[in-house]
Amino acid sequence: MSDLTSSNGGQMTEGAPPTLQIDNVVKRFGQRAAVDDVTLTINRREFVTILGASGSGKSTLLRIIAGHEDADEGRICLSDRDISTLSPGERGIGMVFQHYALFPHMTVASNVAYPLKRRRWEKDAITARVSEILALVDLPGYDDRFPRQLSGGQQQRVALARALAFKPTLLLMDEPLGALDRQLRARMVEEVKRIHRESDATVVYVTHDQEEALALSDRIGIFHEGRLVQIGTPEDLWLNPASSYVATFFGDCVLMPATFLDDEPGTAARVRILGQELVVRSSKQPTEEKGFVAVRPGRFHLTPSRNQLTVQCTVEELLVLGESVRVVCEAPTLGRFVIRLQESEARSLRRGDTVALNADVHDCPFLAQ
Amino acid sequence: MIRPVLAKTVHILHGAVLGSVIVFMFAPTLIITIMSFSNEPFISFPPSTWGFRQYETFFASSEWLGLLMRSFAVAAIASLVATAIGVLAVIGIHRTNAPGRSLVQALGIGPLLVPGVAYAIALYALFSAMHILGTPLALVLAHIALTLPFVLLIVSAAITRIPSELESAAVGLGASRQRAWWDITLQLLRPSLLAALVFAFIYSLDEAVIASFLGYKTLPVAIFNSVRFGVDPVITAISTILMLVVGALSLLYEWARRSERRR
Repeated sequence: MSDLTSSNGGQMTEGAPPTLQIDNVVKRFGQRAAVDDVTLTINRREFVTILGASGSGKSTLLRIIAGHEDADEGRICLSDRDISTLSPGERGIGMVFQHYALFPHMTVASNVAYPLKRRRWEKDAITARVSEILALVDLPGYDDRFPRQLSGGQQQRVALARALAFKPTLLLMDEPLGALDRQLRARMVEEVKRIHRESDATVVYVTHDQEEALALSDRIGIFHEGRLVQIGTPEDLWLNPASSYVATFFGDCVLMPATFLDDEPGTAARVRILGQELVVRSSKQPTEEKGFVAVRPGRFHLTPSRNQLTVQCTVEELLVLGESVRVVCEAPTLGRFVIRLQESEARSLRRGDTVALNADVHDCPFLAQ
Repeated sequence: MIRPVLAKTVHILHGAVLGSVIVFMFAPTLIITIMSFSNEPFISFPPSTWGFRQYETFFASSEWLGLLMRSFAVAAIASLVATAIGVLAVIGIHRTNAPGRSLVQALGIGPLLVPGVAYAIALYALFSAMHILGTPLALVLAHIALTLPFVLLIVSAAITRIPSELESAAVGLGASRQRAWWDITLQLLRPSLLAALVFAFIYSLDEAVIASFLGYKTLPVAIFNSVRFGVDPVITAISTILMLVVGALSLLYEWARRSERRR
């Protein structure tokens, strides 16, 4: 069973069943488990992102929820209804694909109306709904255009409209912004957020892009090698990473090898890092003596002060990124690591300089290996 | 000093070769067309008198017109059936997990690989046993078998260009698999289906060997016989007409292929 730190975001209506309940789902391809015993609860109107590297199994999980793949073990329930054996069309779930999958021989209006026609809606109801949903995605009047006449962002909005047209209980999005360029992606993130709010949809979003995940989600689930490693709000993951994988995956950080010495009152612990005894944060009883303290790159600065970690290192590279400077440092036992300094501090640094970096680590988490 | 001369020589040679090939390919067609406008009661080149005599003979002859209609009928039925079977086979091969689909794909190309006369003899034996030699049914069946490989090739190439994600999307939106194939796949395959239909039609229209073997007289068989047993000049008119029909159909085929690639 994966080690989960769970917290419930979204809206919990008293007594209402969770919109999506995934229990112990396993999917194997040959010997390898692409989805390895995953359990997950999604509540109404939540926006949950499954974040993971390529090949981590997140898309497979989404396809299992949608019904395009069968799970080998486990159960999927939508609003307390077991949908594990239903075909994709019967599940009442909308899906948006990375490459949109718009029907090229149909107009925008026909594309959006397709799910409604398949569900035998009345002609007038269809026309009204198509106008309504196209207005929601900010494409009013685009009814008679063909997909090939639209830009990438517009096509993605039509795909969204089509998925939302029949008011599905759940909306799945499989790396929908992957095919867009950076600027357009940022704009589309805003659009997706707005559409989520205005449509009251419950969304499961899959991506490998941390920025998208941070911008859009109520909760984020980190997926690694088929397992849901941790799920929580962006703050939870940032402040309380459950493992060093989550700490390094979700935002950069420097992992300082540390040895656990003693518990301190509250959620603290005394550890030894680089020969220095310091108090850091520890949310649970460590199972092992040896671990890491995760320090965010922006914590370091050059002015010395008490009760702070000091690291002697050599400057290898400097990269000015506007107001902050990315500094690649090298230190004995740590090897190469990356920090960020304010431009004002880093001004005097040159490649090859030896510096003493300081960091306040009292709220940095102590993590297992 | 030598280079420019060499280049110029190659250029001239290239033009000469290209010109000869074109002339060689089109000369017979041109000659026959010219001969068809001769008013002589025998085949002559160049014609000493000009006129539409051969065309008048053809359109007045119920025998020749009947043969033309026969060929059109066989071609139409064979091409329609071959295309229908072919598109179902292609969907089965490329879009399902049906067992034996690789075998079907391999066997489908079979008739193309067998030498024509050997195939004709085998068909003769089969249809003789079935007591349908000399009937149009036998020829239609044979032409379906012969044109099916072309249909499979043309439509297979087209279906591999249609992302199966489109059908998954349709199914997710509430369509059954079959409905998705009808609404999406078949619609997107329309240009290639037209191309396959036209190709099969042209093939059947021109086919003389098997028709001859199976004892069902179609237009190309009659033209062939006519050349052997005394040369009636009306065949120059018939040939020209056939070439025009096939030429027009080939243009239709090209247009269909091109509009498919434009998607």
